[in-house]
Amino acid sequence: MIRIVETRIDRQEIVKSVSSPESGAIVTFDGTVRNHARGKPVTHLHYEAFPEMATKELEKIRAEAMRRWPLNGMAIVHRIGRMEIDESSVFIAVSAAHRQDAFEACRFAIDTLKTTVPIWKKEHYQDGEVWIEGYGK
Amino acid sequence: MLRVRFFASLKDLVGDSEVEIQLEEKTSVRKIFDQLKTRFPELKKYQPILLVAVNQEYANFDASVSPGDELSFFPPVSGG
Repeated sequence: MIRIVETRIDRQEIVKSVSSPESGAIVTFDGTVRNHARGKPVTHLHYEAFPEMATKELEKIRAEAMRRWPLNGMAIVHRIGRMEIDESSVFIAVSAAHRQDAFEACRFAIDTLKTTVPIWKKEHYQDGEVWIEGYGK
Repeated sequence: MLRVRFFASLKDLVGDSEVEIQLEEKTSVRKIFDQLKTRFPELKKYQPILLVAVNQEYANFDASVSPGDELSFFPPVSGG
């Protein structure tokens, strides 16, 4: 499952999509909206995507992870639009026969996503808002 | 014709999510960007950091674009 969604992320559905009898581990990463950044209180976030390209880049991450580790499944779902504190903006689930492969592949997926997938975050504060720019590819 | 798309802070800076550029023959991303800079001078400060995609694949300023292509400019990504 590779998706860009505009509504609340359904964690259970994503975990279910990678579960299999051959797996001994499912590792998940849940990226949530934090109430502060750079020493400032954050009221909410807004995410924007280049949807067609973001989906392609997410597919590439999954393909690369499946090639590098013996996985049974990988699902990545990123939400866009307005998100409140504590809500999930991204959820990744990885299943494998053994936990080490699942842990490593999950870490690879979120770290790569943060540098290659065209999605941007805008932080909203009490007194304004600012687009956050990453560090580039 | 060339479709040029902007995202996030670049979209705000240009004031539009896309523009169309008259294009008769193959050229470079750099030439298109130079043309855009005269129209949107604020783009200049983004040049050192911005990312480029041609037909939704990462490219660079030396890549070529042809009529009918889709060219995109955006700041370093910050999803997750």
